[in-house]
Amino acid sequence: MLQVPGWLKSLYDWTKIVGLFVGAVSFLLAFLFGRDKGLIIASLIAALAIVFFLVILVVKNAFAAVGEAGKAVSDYDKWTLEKRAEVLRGMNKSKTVVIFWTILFAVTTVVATSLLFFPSVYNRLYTKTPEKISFGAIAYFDANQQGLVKDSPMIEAILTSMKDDARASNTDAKIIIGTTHPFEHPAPPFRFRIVIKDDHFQLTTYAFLSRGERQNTAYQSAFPDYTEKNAVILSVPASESGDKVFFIGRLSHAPGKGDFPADPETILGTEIIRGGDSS
Amino acid sequence: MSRTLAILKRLSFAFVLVLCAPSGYAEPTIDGVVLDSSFKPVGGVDVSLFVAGRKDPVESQKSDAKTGKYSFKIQLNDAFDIVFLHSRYQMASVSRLAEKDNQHISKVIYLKGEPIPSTAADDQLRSAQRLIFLAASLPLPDRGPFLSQFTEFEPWMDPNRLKLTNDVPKAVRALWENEASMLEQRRTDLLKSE
Repeated sequence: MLQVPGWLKSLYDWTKIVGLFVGAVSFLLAFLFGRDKGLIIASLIAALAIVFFLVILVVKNAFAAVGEAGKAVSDYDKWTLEKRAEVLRGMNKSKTVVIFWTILFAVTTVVATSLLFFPSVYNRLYTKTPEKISFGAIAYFDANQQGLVKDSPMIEAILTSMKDDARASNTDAKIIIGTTHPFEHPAPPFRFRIVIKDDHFQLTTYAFLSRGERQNTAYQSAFPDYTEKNAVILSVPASESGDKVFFIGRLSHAPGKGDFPADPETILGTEIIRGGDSS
Repeated sequence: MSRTLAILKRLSFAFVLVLCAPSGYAEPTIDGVVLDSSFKPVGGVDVSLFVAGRKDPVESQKSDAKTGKYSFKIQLNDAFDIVFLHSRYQMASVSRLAEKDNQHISKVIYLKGEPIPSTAADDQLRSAQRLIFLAASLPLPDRGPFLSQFTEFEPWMDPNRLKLTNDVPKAVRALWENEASMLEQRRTDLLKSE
């Protein structure tokens, strides 16, 4: 018959209790902080609880060893040399195990606590205005992107408004759609300029800071500023690593003032605006 | 006899005139010019007439590409607002105009990002509050689509970022910040429940 060690059986029993505890804590934390954060914090608490349990187990064994040693000392005459040597070995072993588990517990606690503070420490260390910003993708809006319009009534409303304005202003216009490359690190609110390299063209945009992918994408307005000639300045709100700027624009010019370039990127550029400089 | 006939003819003519008068009065003209901050006409501006309780404008048209002029001839049954919208300009509106009289409304609108006088900024805040009222007059499902037409709220998400052409006392800033935070709260509440 297979002999299951006592400590393993205890661990199994405790896992069930810890599982219940983690479930309850996860639910509470998910309610308070959202599902993802709640799960991470609850998992950390569970890991700590298991380590804590093992430490208790070890300490309990150490106490048993010390108890044996106490008996050996008080009944010195009754104990053989071999028995005393065995008790001594047990004590030394317990000492080593206790030191090992204490260190492990300390390390686990430090790591778990660090993980909790990691996002804020990371943000504090790495939040800075990007050195540069560039287009990841930019193209004229065409029939292939109709799905985008179908998925987002907001985009449809913007497109309609832009087309109407262009028609009423008596200009030739093409709609462009694009994103920047994802940001490599968190950034405080900053501004950047989309420069129009060809004087004949004018750019009008609706821009958003986008976070997440597909259905889970969240958009936050990046307000445009049209006060500069041949440029649009966009104010980007505070962002996280991986965020990007998504924009829908209207490239327009007076009728008969030349052709639209095959690739809109050839007449558009970007530059970061440092500090309060807007010139 | 002929004199009596002549008098009758004059009376009938006067009667016809009296009959015609109300119909001329019933269709007032609403017109004006849309201008930028340097008083140049702005074309392609969407000029819409809104009445409380209706999701869509009663009537709308684009200002003329060259002259910036717009003109409506319309019979309305309630006081109305005029809203000026353009993708490059900050939204502007004029509230509660009398529906039974001619209106000549010329409006200066400002480029997005352009510094504006504090009076214009305050006017924008009132317009945003007015939009909240107009949205509240609609059934819940219509409020979101109605509000999504306007960019009026954007500058008020952070009043400290408003660019002004003149200094304003701290008291005005404090007032704006207070009202802007209430504006955002009301907009959120409005979209949640009746």
